[in-house]
Amino acid sequence: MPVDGSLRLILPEIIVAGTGLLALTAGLVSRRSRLPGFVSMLGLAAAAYFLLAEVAGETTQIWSGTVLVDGFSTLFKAVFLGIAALIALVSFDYIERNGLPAGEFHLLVLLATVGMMFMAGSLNLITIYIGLECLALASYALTGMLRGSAKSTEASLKYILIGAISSGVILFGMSLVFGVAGSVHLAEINAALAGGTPMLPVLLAGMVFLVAGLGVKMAAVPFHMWAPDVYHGAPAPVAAFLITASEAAAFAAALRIFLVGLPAIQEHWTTVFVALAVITMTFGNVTAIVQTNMRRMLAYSAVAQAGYVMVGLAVASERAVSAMIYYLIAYAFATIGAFAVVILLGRYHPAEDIADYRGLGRRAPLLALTLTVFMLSFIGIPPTAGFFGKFYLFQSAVAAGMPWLALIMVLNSMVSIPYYWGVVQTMYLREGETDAPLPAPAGVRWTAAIGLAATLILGLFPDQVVQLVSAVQVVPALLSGGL
Amino acid sequence: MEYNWLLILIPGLPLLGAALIAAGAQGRWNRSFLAALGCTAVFLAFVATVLVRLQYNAAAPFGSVHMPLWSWGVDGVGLGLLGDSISTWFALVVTGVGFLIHLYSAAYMADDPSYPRFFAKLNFFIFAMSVLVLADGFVGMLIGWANVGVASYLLIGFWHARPAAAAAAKKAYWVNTVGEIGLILGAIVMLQHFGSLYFADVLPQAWFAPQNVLNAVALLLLAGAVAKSAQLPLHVWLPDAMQGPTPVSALIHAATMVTAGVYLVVRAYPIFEAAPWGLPAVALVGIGSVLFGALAALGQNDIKRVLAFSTMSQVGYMMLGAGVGAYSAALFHFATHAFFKALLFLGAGVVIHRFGGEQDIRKMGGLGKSHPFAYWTFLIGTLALVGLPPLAGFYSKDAIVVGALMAGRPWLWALAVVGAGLTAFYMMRLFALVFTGDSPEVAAFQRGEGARQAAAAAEAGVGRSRPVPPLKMVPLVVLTLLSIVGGFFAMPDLSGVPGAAEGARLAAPPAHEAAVAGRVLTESSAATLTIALLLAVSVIGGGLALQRFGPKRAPQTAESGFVKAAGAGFYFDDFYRAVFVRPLRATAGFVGDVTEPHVIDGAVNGVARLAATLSGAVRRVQSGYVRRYALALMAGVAVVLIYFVLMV
Repeated sequence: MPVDGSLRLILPEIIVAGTGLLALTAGLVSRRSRLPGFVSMLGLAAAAYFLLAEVAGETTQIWSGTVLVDGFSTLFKAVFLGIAALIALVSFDYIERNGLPAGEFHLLVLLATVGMMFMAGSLNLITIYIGLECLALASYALTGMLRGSAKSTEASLKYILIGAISSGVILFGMSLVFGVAGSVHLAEINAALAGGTPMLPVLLAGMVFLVAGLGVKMAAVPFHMWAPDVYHGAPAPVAAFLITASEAAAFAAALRIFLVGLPAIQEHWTTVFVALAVITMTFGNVTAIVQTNMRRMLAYSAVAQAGYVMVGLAVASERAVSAMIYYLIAYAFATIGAFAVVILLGRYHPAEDIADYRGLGRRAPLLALTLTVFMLSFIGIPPTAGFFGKFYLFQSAVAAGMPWLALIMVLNSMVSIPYYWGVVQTMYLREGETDAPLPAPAGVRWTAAIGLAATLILGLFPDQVVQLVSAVQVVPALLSGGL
Repeated sequence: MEYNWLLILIPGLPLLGAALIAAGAQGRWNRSFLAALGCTAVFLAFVATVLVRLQYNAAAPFGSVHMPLWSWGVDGVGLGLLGDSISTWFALVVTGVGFLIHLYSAAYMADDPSYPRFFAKLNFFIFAMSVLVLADGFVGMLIGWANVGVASYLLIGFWHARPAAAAAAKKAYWVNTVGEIGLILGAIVMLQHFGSLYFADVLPQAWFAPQNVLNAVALLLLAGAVAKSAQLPLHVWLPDAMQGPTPVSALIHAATMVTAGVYLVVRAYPIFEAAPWGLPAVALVGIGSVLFGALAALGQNDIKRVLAFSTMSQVGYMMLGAGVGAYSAALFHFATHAFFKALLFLGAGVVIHRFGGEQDIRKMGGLGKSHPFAYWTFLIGTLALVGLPPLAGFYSKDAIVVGALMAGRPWLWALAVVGAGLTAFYMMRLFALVFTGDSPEVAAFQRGEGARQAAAAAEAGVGRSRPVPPLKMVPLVVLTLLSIVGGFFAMPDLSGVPGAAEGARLAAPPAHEAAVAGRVLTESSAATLTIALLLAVSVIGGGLALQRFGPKRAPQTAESGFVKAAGAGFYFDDFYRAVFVRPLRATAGFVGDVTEPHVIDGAVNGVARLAATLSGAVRRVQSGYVRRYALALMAGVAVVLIYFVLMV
């Protein structure tokens, strides 16, 4: 490995990994369980600084094409760092209350983050796979961290088993694609397939396995079945982390694999993604309606939201990609913000039923208002970020000549109104058993406030954000000439 | 276009004021402080408006002041503030008269327990109205439009414990929603056709658009204007809106909000002028409302309802002015009308307080002797409205009526002159009944109803000559002065507004200049003739009213059929009740009693059963057994693979 300027380009990843070890050490040395959290946030800030100050603007491949740095990867890495920092912020109180080992918790979150950063930062199937495994292994451990909780342990075990299957499926798909194209580098695969697609059936099989394997991570129906159990059983901050960051990483990898590597068979994977998007959003929304548990409701809502994002993958135009990224960012903030409230409520009502939110409008007026905004954003009501996310996806579907897909999206949004709005009604219109105010720890308050601010700012200035987002390209400029 | 951040202060400060007052009312802050806060916010907004206007004047005739605020990533859809000839003119009146009415309210509403709530809502209204008139496109205008609707709803229903007030608030809101739907549809058509909703994009193109598009847009916009401005046939909410506190009637339902329709027509004048049906429709609505409002005012006995129908009639004049292409005259009449109608409403407030809440003018009288201040201010307002030179209304109304003649619409002109006569009649009737003759106590005494009633009245404090508090007096004096000298202000012109340059460049001269050339009348002879006629009919109308209702009025006789019909607003309410309200209620009842239990519940229960069945099936799969999860995963892969095997 040449130790030259190229190392500088993965400095953010190195910082994050190193911070993980520091956080672990801090957890061993200090009895104060807050120290690792601060270490983690500082490290993430440093990584973000290097990412934005040093790496941003570069477009280079290093190490024989195993790592790629470009606008797309930088944007996603920034998103991952931001999410990880918010998760660290929201989990201070949670860790203390549930007696989680703080050092290990932050280490695992940071390792998962490193994995995600490599998933977004490579055109090499092997690197993407290693990033995915790094994320997956850390996620399994994070899910099972509530040692006393049977639900948590069960979820972790299920996640490992399904995750192992999905890893196998992905690897199988990758090897089939390699067999046809003769390379594991997406640009070379593209070039090999450009002149025609030999052995189409094998290639299609490879594509199907890749879709299925990534579909597991995106929680696309019917590969989603682990998701409700894991999102329900895992520690709440971990669930928020998986719903937002892990899903976003899967979409980043999918965008690269399909748009850079396999545009030759776009008509085929478009068909699959259209079907998956429709099934996923419909199934998620319909199932979410009957949930009485807040966490399970949010879990199925996450499935439905993944279906909306998949519309972008199905359309696969430049506009659709920026709409997807905008949507993922908007959704991440609202989800983590909502989970901040869930975490607070979980402290007093461990069952986490939606009925426990009765009277929250009086008990914690500001947090209830914040949660209302998040729910509005999930539904897609202006001027929240969720509206514009859906609107841009909708627009891209119409522009790509799929107005019926846009229509299904709109119908789905309408189906989703009852269960999101139901939470708001419960908070304001139903009397709680008590009017006792709910004091919120600082971490929870700050996370909710950041989520709120982001949801509103993204909604009020969507134009500027979309301009920023649409500047990045899935197919890096340095390749497009050679392709 | 020059940038000026002061623009944001005009809607921003009242919004901030509304928020602070609302918060302060929760925190039980001092009432007077909150009222002062409300007044200050609007005053500062007025100062900002003056500064913007000065900058505009420096940039005029072809410049304007602009401040972009937001865009939403959709081409042509965004929000910004624009200060040009029309918008600053409106904003000056909105914030200026708004401030005076805030001052007046500080005294008028002093005894109300919800004093701070009132100021919060009033400030909110100023915010919404400034957004409406300052927006640089139809998006911002719609936002303001909807928000003034909300403010109007909140303020009409300010005394929400009164069923009549609550019902009036709802009625106003529903009627305005009808108009709003028209406006939104118009905006959608414009976005489709012009690809933008900014005035600067749409209006210059309007001159060259296809006629059917223009007709559609013009009529849809007019629907919005008619509802908001209480013009025929959507005027029914305005008389009921008088259930709101009197300062609200003065500010919202006389001086500013009801003129939003006029603003809309003048702002979008390239559309109306280019659309074949545009201006004729506006003129028709205008003249219809002039006559209808004046006739209905004749039969009203509630002082505020007289003024309400008078407002409808006067806004009709403005619409007429816009409809004959006399846009400057319409804008001018808007401003002078704001002065004297606000004055009349505030004067009416004094009168109502004097009679202990009584609003029936038949039970009033003789106020002239005991209340000279109220007498003189009200008289000047009345004469300004009637259009007696040199008061403000004379100049602006004349300009409109002359405009009708210059546009080559002699029948519109004739009807407008008739309207002026009616105006003089109903206004002098109102004035004579309230201020001349005997006070009700004296009258009761003379009728021999005796000391008991007089004593009761005295006990209630009615009729005692209380000095008008200075907070009430200042706005009245200022508005009186403005009603006197308002006519000498320079008429606003439309140079530099979006679309004007393109319109001027078009070969065909606009209607209002063309019609004159070949006809007998020159401008000066038209004006002379009009002035003479207007003066004559006004004097005759006013004289007849004075003779009939003045000090030597005949005892009340049974009302004629016409007066009864006028008093009932010519049964428009009954018509709407029969045609819309009852059928809707009946439909709702049908749905509630028949459809809902059998059809909808059936469907809902069916869906619920289906969902239960489905979720049962799902539960068997989503059983918690990982092997089934894995099975589903692999089955999914298999299905897709089979699809490709079969299809490719």
